[in-house]
Amino acid sequence: MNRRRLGINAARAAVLAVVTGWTIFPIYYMVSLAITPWSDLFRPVYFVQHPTLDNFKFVLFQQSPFVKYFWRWLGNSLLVSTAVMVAVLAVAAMGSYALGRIRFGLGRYISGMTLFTYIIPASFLSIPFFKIMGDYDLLDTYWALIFAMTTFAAPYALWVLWDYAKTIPNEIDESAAIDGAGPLAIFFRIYLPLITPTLIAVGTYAFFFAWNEYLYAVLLLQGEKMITLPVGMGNFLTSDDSPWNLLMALSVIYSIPPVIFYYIFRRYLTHGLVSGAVQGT
Amino acid sequence: MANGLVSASPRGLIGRSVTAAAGILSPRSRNVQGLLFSLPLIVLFLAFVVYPLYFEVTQALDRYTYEVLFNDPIYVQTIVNTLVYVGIAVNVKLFLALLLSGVLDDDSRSTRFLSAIFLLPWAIPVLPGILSVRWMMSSQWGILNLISEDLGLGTHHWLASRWTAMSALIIFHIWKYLPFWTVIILAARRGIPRQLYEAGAIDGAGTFQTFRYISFPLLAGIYLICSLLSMVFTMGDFTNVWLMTGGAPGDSTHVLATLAYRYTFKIGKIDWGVGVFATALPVTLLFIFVLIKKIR
Amino acid sequence: MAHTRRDFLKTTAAGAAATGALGFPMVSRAQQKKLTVWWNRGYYKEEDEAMLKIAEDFRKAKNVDLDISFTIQEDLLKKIHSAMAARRGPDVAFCFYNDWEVMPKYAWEGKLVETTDVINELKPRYIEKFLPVAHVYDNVAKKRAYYGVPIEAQTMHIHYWRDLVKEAGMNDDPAKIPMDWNGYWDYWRKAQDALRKKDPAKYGKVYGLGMTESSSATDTIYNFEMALLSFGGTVFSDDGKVVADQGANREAIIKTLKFFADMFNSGYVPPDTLNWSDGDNNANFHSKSIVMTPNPSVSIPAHQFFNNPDNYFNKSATIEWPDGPDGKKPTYMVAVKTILIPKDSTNKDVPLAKDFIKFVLEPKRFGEYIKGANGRWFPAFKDVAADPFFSKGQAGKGGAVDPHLPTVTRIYLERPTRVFEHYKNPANSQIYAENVWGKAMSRTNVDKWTTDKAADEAISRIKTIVAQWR
Repeated sequence: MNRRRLGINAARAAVLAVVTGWTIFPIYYMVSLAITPWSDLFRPVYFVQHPTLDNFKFVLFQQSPFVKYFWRWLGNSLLVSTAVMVAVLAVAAMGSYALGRIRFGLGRYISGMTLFTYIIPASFLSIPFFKIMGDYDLLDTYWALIFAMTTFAAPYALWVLWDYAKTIPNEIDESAAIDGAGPLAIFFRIYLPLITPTLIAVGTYAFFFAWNEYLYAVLLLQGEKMITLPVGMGNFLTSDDSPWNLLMALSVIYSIPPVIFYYIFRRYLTHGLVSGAVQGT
Repeated sequence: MANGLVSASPRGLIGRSVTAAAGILSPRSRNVQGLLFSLPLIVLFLAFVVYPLYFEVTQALDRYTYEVLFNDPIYVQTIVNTLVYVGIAVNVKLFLALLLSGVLDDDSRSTRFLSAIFLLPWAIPVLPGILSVRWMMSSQWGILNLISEDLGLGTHHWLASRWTAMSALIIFHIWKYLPFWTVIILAARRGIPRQLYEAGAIDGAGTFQTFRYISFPLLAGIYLICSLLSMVFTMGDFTNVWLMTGGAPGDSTHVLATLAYRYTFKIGKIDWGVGVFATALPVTLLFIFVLIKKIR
Repeated sequence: MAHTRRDFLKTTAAGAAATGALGFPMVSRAQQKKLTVWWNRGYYKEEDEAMLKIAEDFRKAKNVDLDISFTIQEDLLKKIHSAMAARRGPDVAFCFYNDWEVMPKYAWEGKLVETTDVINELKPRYIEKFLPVAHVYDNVAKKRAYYGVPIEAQTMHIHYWRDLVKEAGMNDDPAKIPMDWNGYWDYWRKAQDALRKKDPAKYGKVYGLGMTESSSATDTIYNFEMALLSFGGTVFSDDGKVVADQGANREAIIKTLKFFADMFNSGYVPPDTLNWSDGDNNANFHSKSIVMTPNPSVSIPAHQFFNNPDNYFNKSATIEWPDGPDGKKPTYMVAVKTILIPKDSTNKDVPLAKDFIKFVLEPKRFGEYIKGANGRWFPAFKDVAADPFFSKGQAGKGGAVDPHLPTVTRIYLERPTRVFEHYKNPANSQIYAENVWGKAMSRTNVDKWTTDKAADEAISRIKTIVAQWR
C-alpha cells in the first residue's frame, strides 16, 4: 500500500510539475521579451542578458510611433469596458429578476433566447453587424461596440445572478408583495441589495469581457484616437519592422488588470456556469 | 423592511388589497411585468442577433455566393481547417480537462498552489498570450527553435507550413482554455457524493475502475455538454487564428471567421464575407439547438 | 436618399421638438461650405504636419469648414469599404491602398466621380507614364476614363551592403557591378562564397541573395512582376482581358517561375524566404544575414538614415534591377498612390473637392508634403521632381554623397516604367490578395511541381477570378 501511494504521489507530482511549467512558459517569455532591449531582440536566449525597463518607458511616455496614442487607447478601453459593465449589470439584473423572481409563462422563451445568444459564436454575427452599423452611421463610435458587447456578455451574467439569487428565499419577495410593494420596489429595495456581492463579480466579468474583445473592436473602430488597446496592439503586426519588445511591454501592462481581478473573483464566476450546466443533465 | 413598503398612498392601499386578496399576482400581469423587465434583453436580441442573422439568411439564398465560394480552393481548405481545429482542439482539451480534474480533485497544498497558477492562461487576455507564442515560433528569433536545437531536434519553420501552423494553433488553444474547462469539470466532480467513492474503495476498486464505474458515468452528461459548447465556440474563433497566422502561409490556415474577414476587407466583397457565415449557419444552428435541448 | 437612417431618426426627433417648441421656421445661418477629407497617416510626422498646414491654408483661403482626419492605411481601407457599402463617404479620400484595392473596384461599380477634367488641367505638369493608374473602367457608365488623381509613387529597388561586398574582396562601387542578367545574379553568389570562405565563423550563415519567395508577402508579387517583365511576359491585355495563357506569355511565366525555383534551390537564398512576411527581408538585411535584397519601398535605407547614418551613407547602397536576358534595360513596376472622390459623399460638393485636390497639388505645397516623407514617395509631377532633394538625396556629414535616393530618382525619370495592371481589370486586386504568384512559387519550391504545372494552375486560377468578378 505504501509503495503504491508513493508511486501515485510521484506520478501526481510529475504531472503537476509539467502542467506548471507548460502553463507558465509563454507568460515567462512574454515578460522576458518585455524587458529585452531592441539590440538583443534578434538573438534568442533563455535568460534575458541585459534586462531593461526602457520598453515600459517608451510605452508610458508614448515615445514610439507605434504607441503614439497609448494613453488614449487605455482611456478608450476603460471607457468602453465601464460602459459595458454598467449596461450588462442593468440588463442582466433586470433579466435575472424577471426569470428568477417573477416567474412568468413567457419566461421560457426569454431564457431560450438568452441561451441562444450565449451559444452562438459572436464572430458569426460580426460581418453582418459591421454592415448594419455602417448603414446606420454608427461605425467608429462607441455605441456600436457597447451594444455588441452587452448583447454577448449579458446571458452569462444573467445566469450567474439567477443562480446566486436562488439562495435568496422567495418568501422575502412574497411578504414584501403582501405589504403592497410593486415589482419595481422589490427589485430596487430587496433584490439588488441582496445580490450585491455577485453584482460586483458579474460587473467585473463584463468589464473584462469588453477589455479583452478584439474582433468587434477591430471591425467597428477605425480612427486612430478611437481604437482600444488590443486593436492598437494588433496594428503592430501590420508593419515592416515593428518593435516586438515594445509590444510585449504593452501586453504586460494590458494583462495586469484582468489577471488581478480574475483571481479575486474566480469562485463566483465558475459557480454559476457549473451549477447551471449540472442542473441541465 | 415590510413596514417601509407600506404606504398611505392609494397605490399602496390598492396593492395591499389586491395582493392580500389574490395571494399572488395573476399570471397575465406577471407576464407583463416579466416582459417589461426583460425588455432590454429582448431589444438587444432582436437588434443585434436576429437582425444580423436575417442578413446571413438572405445571403444564403443568393446562388452567386455558393458559386464563388465553392469554386474557391481556399474556401474548401478553410472548411477542412475549421473541422480539424475544432475536432482535435476541443476533444483533446476536454479529455485532458477530465484527467487533470481527477488529479486536482483533492485539497492538498500542491493542488491549491497549482490551481492558483493554472488559471493564468485564462486570466491573461487573448492578445498577449498569442503574440508571445507567435514570436516564440519565429523561425529566426523565437525561443522554440533555440530549445529545439539544444535538444538536437534542429530548427523548424513552425508557422511556415499549413499543418505545423495548425498544430501550433491547436496547442495554443489547449494552453489557453484547458484551465477553464478543468475548473468546470472539477466543480462537477466535487458534486459527486463522497460516499460513492468510499463504497467503491470498500469493494476494492482501483483508480481506473473507480473512474470507469463511478466518476465517468456521473460526469458524462456535463462532459457532453461541455464538448458541444466548446465546439460551437471554437467554430467561431477569430482572434486566435488571426493573430497567430493571419491565414498564412498563403491563406492555407484560415478558419471560417478569418476567411470572412479576408473576403470583406482584403478582397473588398462584403457579400462573400457574409456568405461564408451563411454557409456555415445550418450546421451551427443544428449544434445550437441540440445543445439547448440538452441543457434544458 | 440624401440622409442616413441615423440622420433621419435624429432629424425627425429634432424636427418634432423644434416645430413644437418654436412654431416658426428657423432662420438659416450664413452658409459656410463644408468638406470632409480622409487622409492616410504618413510614415513620418513631417508629412502629416505639412498636410495639416495645407489644410489650414485651404480653410483660410477659401473660407471652408474643412474636416480632415488621418488614419493608418489598414484602418482607412476598412473605413472606405464600409463607407462605400453604406453609400456615405468623405468628399475626398486618400489611402495608400487606393490604387490596388479601392479605385479599380469602385470605379467599376460606378461609385467614383470622374476626374478627367482635373487630370487634363494638370497634365502639363504630370510625369505622364504614371497616369494610366487612374484610367480605369466604369462598368455602369460603360466607359474608361480617369477616376482618381495620381500623386506619388513607389517602385522596386535593390539594396546591398557595400562593406560586405568589400569584405568579400569584390568591387563595391555600384557603377562597377555587372548589370547583365547572368553576371548580376552571379555577383551576389560570388559574394556569398567569398565571405563564407573568408570567415566561416562570422559569415558562415550569410546569404548572397535576399529574394523573398513567400506566399505571405506582397514583396513576392513585386519580385515576380519585375522578373516577368524581364522575361517579356504580361498577364493582361490593354483592355483587361487575360492573355497570360497565350504562347509567349505562358512561356515567360514558366521561365520566371524557373528563375525563382533555381534561385531558391541554388543555396544562395535563405531557406526561410519561403515564409517571409513583408518585414522579414528588412530584418534580415538589418542584421546583415543577407548581402542584398530587392524591396519595393525605401523603408530599409530610411530606417538606416534615422538609426545609423553611417550605414546609410557609407556602408550600404541602392542599385538597379539588372538588364533583361534580352539585354534591354529593365522596365520597373511602379505603384502610384492616388486620391479619389466618392460619388456618395456627405457634402456632395464635387467642385470644392476638386479645388481642394488642386490646392494640395500646387508645386510648393505638394513639394513640402512629399519631402516630409523623406524620400519614401516620388512625386508624380515634373516640377516637384526637379527639386534637388530627389536628385541629390540627403545631405551627409562632411559632404557625404547619398547612395540611395539619386538611384531611385534615376529609375523613375530615365527608365521605362509600367503601372500595375489593376487599372486594366479590377479583378487584379483579388489576384494579388490571393498572392497567386507566391502560391505558384510554393508549388515549385515546396511541392516540387514542374514549372509548367504550377504556371498552368496559376493561370487557370486567374481566369476563374476574372470570370467571376462582378
